[in-house]
Amino acid sequence: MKRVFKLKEPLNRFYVVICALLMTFTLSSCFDFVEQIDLKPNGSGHIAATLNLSKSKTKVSSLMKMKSIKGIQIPTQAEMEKEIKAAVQLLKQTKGISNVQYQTDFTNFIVNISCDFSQIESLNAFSDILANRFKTKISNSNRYYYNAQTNVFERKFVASSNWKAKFNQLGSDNTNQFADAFYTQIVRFEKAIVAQDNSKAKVAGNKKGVLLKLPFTDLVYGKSTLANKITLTK
Amino acid sequence: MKSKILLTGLACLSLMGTVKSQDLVKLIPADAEIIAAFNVKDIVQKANANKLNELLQKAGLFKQFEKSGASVGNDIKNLGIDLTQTAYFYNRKTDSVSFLEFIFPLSNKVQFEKLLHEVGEPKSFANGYSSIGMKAGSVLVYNDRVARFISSTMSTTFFENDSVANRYGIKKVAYMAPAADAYSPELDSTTAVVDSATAAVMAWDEDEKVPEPLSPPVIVESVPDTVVAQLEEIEPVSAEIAAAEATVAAIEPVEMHDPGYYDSLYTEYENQNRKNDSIRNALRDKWLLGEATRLLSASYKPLSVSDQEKVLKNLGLIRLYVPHVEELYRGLIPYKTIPYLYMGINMDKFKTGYQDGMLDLLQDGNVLRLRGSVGLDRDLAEMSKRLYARKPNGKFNKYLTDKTLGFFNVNINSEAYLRDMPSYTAKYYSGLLGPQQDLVEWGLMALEVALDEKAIAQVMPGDHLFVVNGLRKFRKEYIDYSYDDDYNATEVKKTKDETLPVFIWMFTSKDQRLFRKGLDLAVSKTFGKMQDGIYAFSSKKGLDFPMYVLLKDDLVMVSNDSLSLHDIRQNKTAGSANKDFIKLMKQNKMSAAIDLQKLPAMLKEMGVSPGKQWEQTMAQLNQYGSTAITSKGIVGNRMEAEISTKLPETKEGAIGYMIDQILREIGK
Repeated sequence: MKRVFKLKEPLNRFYVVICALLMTFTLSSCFDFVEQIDLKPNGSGHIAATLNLSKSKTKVSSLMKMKSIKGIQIPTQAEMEKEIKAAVQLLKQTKGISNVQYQTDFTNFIVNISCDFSQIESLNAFSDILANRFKTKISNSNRYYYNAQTNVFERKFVASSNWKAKFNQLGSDNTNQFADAFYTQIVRFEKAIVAQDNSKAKVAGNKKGVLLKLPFTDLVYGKSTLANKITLTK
Repeated sequence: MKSKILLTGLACLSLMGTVKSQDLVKLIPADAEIIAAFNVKDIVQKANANKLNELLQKAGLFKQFEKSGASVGNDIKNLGIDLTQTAYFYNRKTDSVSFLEFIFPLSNKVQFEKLLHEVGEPKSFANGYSSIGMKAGSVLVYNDRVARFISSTMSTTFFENDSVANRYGIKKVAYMAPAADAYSPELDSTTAVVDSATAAVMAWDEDEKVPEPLSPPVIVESVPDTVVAQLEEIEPVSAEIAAAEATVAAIEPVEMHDPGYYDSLYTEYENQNRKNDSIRNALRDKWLLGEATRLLSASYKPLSVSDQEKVLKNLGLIRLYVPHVEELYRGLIPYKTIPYLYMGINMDKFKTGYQDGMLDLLQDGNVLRLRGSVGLDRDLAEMSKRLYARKPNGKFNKYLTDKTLGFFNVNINSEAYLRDMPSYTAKYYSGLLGPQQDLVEWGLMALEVALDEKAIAQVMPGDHLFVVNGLRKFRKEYIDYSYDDDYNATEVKKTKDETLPVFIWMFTSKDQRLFRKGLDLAVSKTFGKMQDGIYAFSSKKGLDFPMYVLLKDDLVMVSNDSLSLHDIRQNKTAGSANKDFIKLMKQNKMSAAIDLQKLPAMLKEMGVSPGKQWEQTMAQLNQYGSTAITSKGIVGNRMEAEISTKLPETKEGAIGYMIDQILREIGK
């Protein structure tokens, strides 16, 4: 029987907070978002997501002293910590999620959240709960699928036209401003990779990992995609 | 001879203008709270009449007049308003109602009347004035030379007092009546209210009362301030209303489960509210009528001659004048509220020492100024003079250079401050302290005795300069990731250059022992280090940038840039003197200024994009000059302050430029 589980990275709550922050912080235009998934053949695994704003820490620190910018409220450190804790709490309550860990470094502005998942479905459930709670449509634009029988791992990703419109509102210089902002995704497997579809992704030397590092602006403007289909050995 | 006659004629004309203006200012009553004077002649001249016409045309004002049948030909000169005189606005408050009046001179009554065709038919009012009823609660009265728009608004709290509400027949109603079995002392008082209401309620219309055009008044005087006076005006209750009240009272209690019961409750609630509104509106209109009558018959005390002078003397474009700042302040704070009473705070004893206040909008070529001043009582003026008796350190000058983006300077005599502040606080604020007054006064006295003002004044006399001198690239560490062949990530530290503004905060200190000892202690505890005579503290949590401190001559300097302090230490000149900024600093007790021309380039260099909507504004900033906030401290017995902006140079000056900007925005 074909078992296809939908997967969505588990940290949507975290993404919501961070995305809101990033879109408003025109100035904090240098950042790295790193998502690492270690997937076992049975569909369980470990995920860690890191937002690193240390390249822009001076600007972020200055901005956080302001209450709002361009009419959008800037969260305080306490508010961000509260949001992260709420996300972690929700993560802990999600069936199939365990070993939830998080770290915050407000000197370098780095936030890291990680957890184990017993099956990919648990992560999807978590993201759906959060998306529903915060009335976001993020879960619709980014979905994972894994078929343990065919050993096919697939990520579907659709850039929202809304992102582009919002990004354009920030001003004409933003392409240059965000030139140093990247989204990195690493997926590691226990089995070797036979093939992968994304032309911008690289396969590790041991053939058990795929790295995809894309400029943030390319994702917003739809020049690149996070979508990928990875086939593993049987 | 001819020129003498001409000069005399001109002098007479200008004197006539003044006399006319003074005539109108006399129309303002002595108890006006806030007065505004509009120098219409100057405004029209400086705004450029053609531009003003274009602006009003685009705003649709002329079209509105044309609709009412007036032929104004897109020219403000055809409105019938005298554009060579001063117009006034003021407000006056009583405990029950607040009035505002706008007084503007007319040059052509017939032309002016044509503008009002749509509003209504003018009627003869009193003292040679005609009137036109405007929206509810306001009236326009005018004669050949002046038009007066008077408006009234009821106080929101006046009728909250039960006895006042009862006297006027206003019944306080709740949507849901209290439970029948629960005893409420209000029940008895409700009965009382009904009784008094019965005595007071007139035959109010159910609908909102639409004020009719005012007819010649029959009431000689209406003084809304005094409740008792109004009692005499209240008409007796009509027999029908009394009968209706009696019928309602006689109705048996309705079953609570009957849905109709709730409907009837709501209807009753709505009906009573409508009645209350009718009473309030009728009172408001009656009081408005009384006020208009009083003003037109000149049976009021006009603004004192000295206040008239203060309104008109050296009038720029617009002046806002508050004759009694302290009273206005008292009126704004809810000092009779329960928390204040509970804490024993007696606001009646609260004094500010402020007298009159003035705010002027002025145009000086391409510079637009907002100048404010507050009159101080003798003691406060004397003390303030002592507080501001300090000049900036002459050595500050060389740090205001052509690279300076902006600065902030303040000069306070800290010795006088420490000496006078306890007695000042005791004198002006002790009334606020309630039962703690004696204790706090004792504490203040102890503080006064304990502090050695002279010694502290040696450590920090009170002159400070904060200056932003250009940008510099700072090397910053950040966290990145490196990946091995199998894409296992590890954290690595990298560095990058960031362009940031360089600031220096400096102040005079003739006795630097305290600072030196403290800094040495910090270094010995490894919180910082000493490099080439400069104390350095690295950035940590709570400190976004490294901090450097230099003690040089009689100055203490704190900066985020060690190179700047090194240059200062070695007496290297940072740039040529910024004479404008130096002049601003020297001429004022407090000054802050920013050179807007430098801002766009600076933001660009920092990689800051202010956003699409600000792009055009940022591009225009290149043509601007400095924007400054300054205060000369105490001049005479007044505390003065000013905000000024140097706009781009144009033929018409600042106001003309601003109208151009508005026209451009409308045209988009």
